[in-house]
Amino acid sequence: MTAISTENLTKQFGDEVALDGLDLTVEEGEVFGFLGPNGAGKSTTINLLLDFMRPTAGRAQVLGLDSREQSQEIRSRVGVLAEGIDLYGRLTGRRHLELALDWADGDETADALLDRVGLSRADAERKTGDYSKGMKQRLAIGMALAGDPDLLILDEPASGLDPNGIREMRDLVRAEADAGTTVFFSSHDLDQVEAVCDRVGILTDGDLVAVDTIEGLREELGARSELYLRLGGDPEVDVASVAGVSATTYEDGRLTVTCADPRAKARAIGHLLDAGVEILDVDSSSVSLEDVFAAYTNGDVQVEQADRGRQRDEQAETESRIAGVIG
Amino acid sequence: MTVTWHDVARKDFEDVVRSKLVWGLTLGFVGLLTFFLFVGYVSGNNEAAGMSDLLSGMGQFVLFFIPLIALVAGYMSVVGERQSGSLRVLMSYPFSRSDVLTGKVVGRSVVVGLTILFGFVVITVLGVPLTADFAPVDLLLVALLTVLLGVTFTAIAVAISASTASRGTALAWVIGIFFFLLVMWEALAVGIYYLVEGSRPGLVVEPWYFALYQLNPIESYRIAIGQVTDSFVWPMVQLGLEDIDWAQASAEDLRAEARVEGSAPFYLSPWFSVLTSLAWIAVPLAIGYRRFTSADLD
Repeated sequence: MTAISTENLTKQFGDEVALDGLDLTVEEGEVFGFLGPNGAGKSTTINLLLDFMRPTAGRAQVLGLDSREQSQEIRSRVGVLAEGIDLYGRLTGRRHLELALDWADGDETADALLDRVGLSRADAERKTGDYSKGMKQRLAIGMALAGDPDLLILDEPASGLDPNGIREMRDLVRAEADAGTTVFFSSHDLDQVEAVCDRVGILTDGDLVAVDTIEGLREELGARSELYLRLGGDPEVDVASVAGVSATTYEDGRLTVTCADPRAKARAIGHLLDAGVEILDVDSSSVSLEDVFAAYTNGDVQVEQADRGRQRDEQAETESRIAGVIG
Repeated sequence: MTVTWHDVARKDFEDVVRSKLVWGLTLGFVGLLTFFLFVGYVSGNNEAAGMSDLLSGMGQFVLFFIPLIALVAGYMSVVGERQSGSLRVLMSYPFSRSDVLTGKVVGRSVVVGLTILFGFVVITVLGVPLTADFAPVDLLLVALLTVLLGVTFTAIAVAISASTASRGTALAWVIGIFFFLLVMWEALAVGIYYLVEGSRPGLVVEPWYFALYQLNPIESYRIAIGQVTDSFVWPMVQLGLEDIDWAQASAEDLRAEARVEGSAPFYLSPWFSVLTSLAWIAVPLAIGYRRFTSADLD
């Protein structure tokens, strides 16, 4: 069964299209990262799934239930951390969890939830009006976990958390997923998503531009890695002919090998060593997920620029070859 | 689905009773009641005054203060949570929008009702020795009518709160409604009377003139308290648009029953104020419900 499915889901605010015909399917049991810059339509999508907002067109199903007609039943089975929330500042943290357990029909204790989100007993006795943003976020996550939901919908769960908190958050998501909970969470930050998601969807300006695994996304953009070698002398062999190497440049003792296949790096080094070239230092880089993300979210412009960049590289490579020959 | 409006009302009550604003209003209300009672005691003209005179005198002050307290206690109830984002936390759980609205009306009404009852305990404790008159029926009726007035304005405030998307808009509406009902109503009634009859209302008027007043929850409360205590309750604000020689008219002449010829029409009975209040609870809440259920909670 699918945990979330949307069909042509569209939301307009006046003339502004916040979400443009979203077709998305999230399978039960997976951790799905919903990525995109701020204002891309992620929160709008979540608001539509929970019936906080009503679609202009299209429809959505959550856990097989209609988002409009069966919203109460949906919300009885879903744990939610909404975006831009506030808590009841005059009530204690513990009272919040007790209310959440009561409303979500949960069997756990407030203490168990406190432990899971890393809040102390002393914190729990304080009013949430005195909480820091990170503590509020932890408490809100605890409230979302109450009642062991089948699906967790987390909107920017890492916001307000310090790096340590973000790591704990990731562990929590992973643990929930291992226990069979489907997790759908949004983020504008790739680092948070990369380690924990089975699949990601990239949303930009209300359009879903890609849905794939992290690996799939890397490949789609043409995964490219570069090898930087400092050589003891000029390379007298043709490294570019090594299988998987797409280009090489050489300048002042520095050889840059561009590989279409990451495994080609080792082969290139092997080739040089076989030819008796002395290698003083080795460094390498691979295309980061940030690059992939930027390429998608900034639209085609960035991709074209990357292509032009590659052309420039090729030109430079030719020039340096000529220089190498002359030199 | 185990959650209902009860859960919202209970949460809301817990939250609101911790609010400094509500405590401030309650203490202000009770403090002023006490002050007026002492002024009455010190000024010494209470020898002949019974409990009903005391209640009638309080009525003028209560009909201003209770709507104010109720509006202040209610106008932020929904829109405040909506703007801060805590409504999205509440709505993460399987509440319907009508659960939220009903729970808010009930929760805030309980707070306002308790404030009023506390005030009446003070009136009883201080007023009975002062007037040497217990009059439990009058006390009970006036207390019930006052609670109804409080609940009516709580419902109006919550309805406005649920209908608007920002605190500022809700505040503007609340101030506007309060001003209209408390200050402007006389101008409206006199204006209509002038258009229909060709003259301003004098001391003796066509009975339907009072039907206009009975449509206003504050005025119908004032008339009802007058009838229960068998006296004239002065309005809080009087524009003086009626064609009346105020220096000549006694309080007795100004009572609605005295200003109509023949027997008082049915709509001048005290129970009519109950109908007026119920209408002022039902209509705004129906509008608020429609607007709130169709709203995008952004």
